[in-house]
Amino acid sequence: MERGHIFNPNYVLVTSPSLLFDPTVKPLDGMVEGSVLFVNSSKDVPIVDSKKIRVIYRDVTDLALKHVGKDILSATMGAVACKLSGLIGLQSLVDSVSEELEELGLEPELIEKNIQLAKECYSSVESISLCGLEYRPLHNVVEVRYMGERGIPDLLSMGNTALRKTGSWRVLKPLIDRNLCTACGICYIYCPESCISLDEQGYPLINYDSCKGCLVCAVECPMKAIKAERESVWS
Amino acid sequence: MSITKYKTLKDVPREEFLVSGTSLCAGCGALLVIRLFHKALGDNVVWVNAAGCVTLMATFPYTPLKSSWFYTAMGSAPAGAQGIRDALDILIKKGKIDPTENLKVVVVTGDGAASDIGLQSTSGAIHRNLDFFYLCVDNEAYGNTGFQASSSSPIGSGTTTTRPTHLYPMGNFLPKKDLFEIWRSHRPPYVATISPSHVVDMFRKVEKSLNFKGPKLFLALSPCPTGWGAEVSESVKLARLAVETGIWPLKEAVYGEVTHTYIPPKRRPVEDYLKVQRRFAHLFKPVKNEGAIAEIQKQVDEYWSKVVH
Amino acid sequence: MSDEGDKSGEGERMVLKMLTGSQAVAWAARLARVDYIPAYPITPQTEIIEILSEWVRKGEMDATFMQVESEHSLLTAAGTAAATGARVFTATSSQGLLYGFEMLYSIAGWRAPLVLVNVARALAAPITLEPDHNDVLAARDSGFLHFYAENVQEALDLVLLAYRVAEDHRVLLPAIVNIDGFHLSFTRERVDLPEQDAVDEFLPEYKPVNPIRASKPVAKGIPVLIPPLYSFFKYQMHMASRNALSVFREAAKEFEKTFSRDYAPVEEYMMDDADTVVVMSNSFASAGKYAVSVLRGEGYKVGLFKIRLFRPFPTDDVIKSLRGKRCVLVIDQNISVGKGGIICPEIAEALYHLEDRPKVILPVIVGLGGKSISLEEFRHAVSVAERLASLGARPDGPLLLFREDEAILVESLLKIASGG
Ligand SMILES: Cc1ncc(C[n+]2csc(CCOP(=O)(O)OP(=O)(O)O)c2C)c(N)n1
Ligand code: SF4
Ligand code: SF4
Ligand code: SF4
Ligand SMILES: [Mg+2]
Repeated sequence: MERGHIFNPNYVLVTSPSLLFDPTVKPLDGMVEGSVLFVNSSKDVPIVDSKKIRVIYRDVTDLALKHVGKDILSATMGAVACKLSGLIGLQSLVDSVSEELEELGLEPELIEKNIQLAKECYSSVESISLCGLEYRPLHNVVEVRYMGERGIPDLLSMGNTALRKTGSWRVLKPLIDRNLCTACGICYIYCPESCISLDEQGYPLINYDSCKGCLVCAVECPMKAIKAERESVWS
Repeated sequence: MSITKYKTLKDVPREEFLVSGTSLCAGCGALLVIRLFHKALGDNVVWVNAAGCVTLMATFPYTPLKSSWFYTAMGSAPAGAQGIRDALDILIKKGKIDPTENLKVVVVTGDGAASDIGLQSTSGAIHRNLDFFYLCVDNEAYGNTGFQASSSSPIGSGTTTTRPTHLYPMGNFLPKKDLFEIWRSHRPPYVATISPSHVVDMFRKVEKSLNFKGPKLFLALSPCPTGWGAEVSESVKLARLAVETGIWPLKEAVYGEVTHTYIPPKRRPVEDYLKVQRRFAHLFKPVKNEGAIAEIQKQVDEYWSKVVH
Repeated sequence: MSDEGDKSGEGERMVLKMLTGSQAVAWAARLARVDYIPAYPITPQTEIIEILSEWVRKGEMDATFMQVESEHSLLTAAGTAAATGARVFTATSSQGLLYGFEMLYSIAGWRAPLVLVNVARALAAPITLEPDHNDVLAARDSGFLHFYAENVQEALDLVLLAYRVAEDHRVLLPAIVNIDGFHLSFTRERVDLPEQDAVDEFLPEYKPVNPIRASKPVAKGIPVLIPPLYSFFKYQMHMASRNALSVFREAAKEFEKTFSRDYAPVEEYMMDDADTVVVMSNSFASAGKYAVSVLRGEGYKVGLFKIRLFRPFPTDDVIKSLRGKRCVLVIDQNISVGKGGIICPEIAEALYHLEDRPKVILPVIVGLGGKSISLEEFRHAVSVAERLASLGARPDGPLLLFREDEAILVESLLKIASGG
């Protein structure tokens, strides 16, 4: 049994394929031969499968949108984990979901929708029971050296959050229709994320690496020139 | 208003001081306020921050800002600003650093820090006539810790510590603290309310405040889709509704002298604003609480009846 | 105060004066040419900030004195000013130190060097004005360096040494210099007051690391949410603090050259042939020294070991001085309620692995809320330790020293309070 940080997971569930390659997340670390990787994605994403892990793809975001109308992923991923591991039954899952959401003060109809969502996620995968997987020691223990001024928690590289690619958060993608756009610049003014810029003629350009898909731009556009489209695979 | 650079949205400078990629929620009003406010302030800024949602803009090893940032503590960001301001002044005066190294010192905190735990520190800084800016991004609760009530939460709003129940049908039954008036009572050179929906108004106010030495304080309505239970895409629309219903008056006070910078020609009913946010849902469902809504409307009407047109 | 005074005998570079502890640390701040003094009054620290504000207002000191609205703000402003590159001095005491407590860890974590004089005063409740060390020891784990002064001269000298060590780039941590309320703060003693040019020579200009400047933006104090990274920065602070041991020795050597006064992290008194050693710190160590000299006359082979630098903890010095001794009594002028003294376990841990560790390490509590320590109490504690050693017995909890005259006094006061 591991608690907190899981070093040798039997099952790994990844909410977005973009996280697979994030150096600060490294979800595949510690996975061994025979362990199971679940990726929330409609398409297969190439994974360097050196350890012969089993990979399952399902688009649970789609299910969330269908049932709840929003990309709420906690109930979905929880349900998948319950089923995959075979450790938690459907009733316990349903009870937990309704209790958690009641605590958040959600209305009964919305809780019911979430339960339906959890149920469908639960039935969307099969249990894979795993035992006797072989673990290899992964880590050496090292001594920390004194690093002088580098050991001071000051940050000197300014404006570097763009490295984080928050575009992976997006469920709906804003698309600008150049035929309707009058280059008024209003979308640029109101984008909270600084990810709309204006070209020389004043036409807006969206930085999709960072755009979180809030669609404030679409609501504010006086020409209704920005349409929302369901994001397919983010890469 | 006196001569201004800002006539229309076209006059908003293109330079960005805040790059994308923060971990703040999609549609965060506070983030939009900070982005626009920084454009109005220009460069050479050091932000001094108290604990709150915007603290998570910069987490090691990332910062979205091209300017300096100092996270201090929840209760004492204005005192942090005091130390930086004083140190810069001393070092320049003693010739230890070049005057071109000078910075505008800008405190940015949430409403909980501003109205509750940090009020003493703010009062001290204003009283000492500290030359600084204060930007309070008001999302009307303790957002970072999960949206508990602050003294800035409006009456009738549900938060995670003022849940509406049959014993407490209003949710939060305490009035919103009037931070504008608390600040103004110190008679600092400049106090203003701003809204991310009214950008030209915001830019003109910041522009004007730059002429004053001493405390310059801004209270910004900052829609919080997560805590308010509103559509992420409607943050700006909600802010505009707050102004158009008269719930969020746009005003300024120069050495205590108040002027309303925008008077809604025909105020929309407060219901239009309340009904689109889950934090007020209990006022509409399962049965409409006409009395509570009328009371909120009455308070807004009374406010405006005292405003000299 | 006038600048006149006798030229001291030994060196040319100082002037003899009669100063209180408060005046002495104020002089140290002045001689260190501090830039910034944020302040908030609390007894018994007030004299320090009154003197400094007067000097600034008269133009005798080129510094900014800023009275703020609380110690929490005081420490915040002190820390951000130091991080911006100003040399900062401030002072507080007991309730004030605890009121600003959150910021002690922050300032240390910012790696912002400054000097904070704590004028020791016991903590409420019950509230009092008299000293013990629960206030300063509450800051033990914060990352501040801790310097403890026994007399007025030391108070002045340790402030100068503290700046030199704290600002050294191998260290970059803030420092507390502790002086006991009343016993040092308001007691006048003869002091060699260093001359300005000598101090200038000893104390180089403060060179801040990553200060806030228009030309070079920096983000400071930001959250570190990645657990190994947090551990890493804390380990770095610890190692920087450990560096302060050798940096202190280096600085003390320089100090000795300039001012002919020699400071080590610890001090030994009559220890050469001692079997029993009394461990103490701060101003009550003088009473301890007196007791030791009297007990020597009575035939006790006793000495005193004084801790001057408490953080970083001078483990090697403790081992060097206390190994092979028969009995060690640690006099803690503080109490961790439900355990005992705070310093005693640290001494015991330093000695634990030695073959020739003392037979008895006796925890002794005395001097809380300024309670005096009499010769009889020292004698009693020494004899308890020696008896335990000869019996091969272990101490039964800390010895809580109290005298009969005090018991009678307490009884009479309780009677008044209860109306009985
Ligand atoms: C001394 C102290 N008490 C409590 C907290 C916990 N805390 C961190 S952020 C926060 C909420 C801040 O609310 P607000 O100032 O309104 O900012 P928001 O998060 O809503 O933007 C609280 C209570 C803290 N960091 N420090
Ligand atoms: S708001 Fe609409 S019309 Fe205006 S620039 Fe943006 S897309 Fe074009
Ligand atoms: S969807 Fe949101 S983040 Fe993306 S461009 Fe529009 S306003 Fe900016
Ligand atoms: S909780 Fe609200 S204020 Fe905080 S980041 Fe999210 S939207 Fe912004
Ligand atoms: Mg808030």
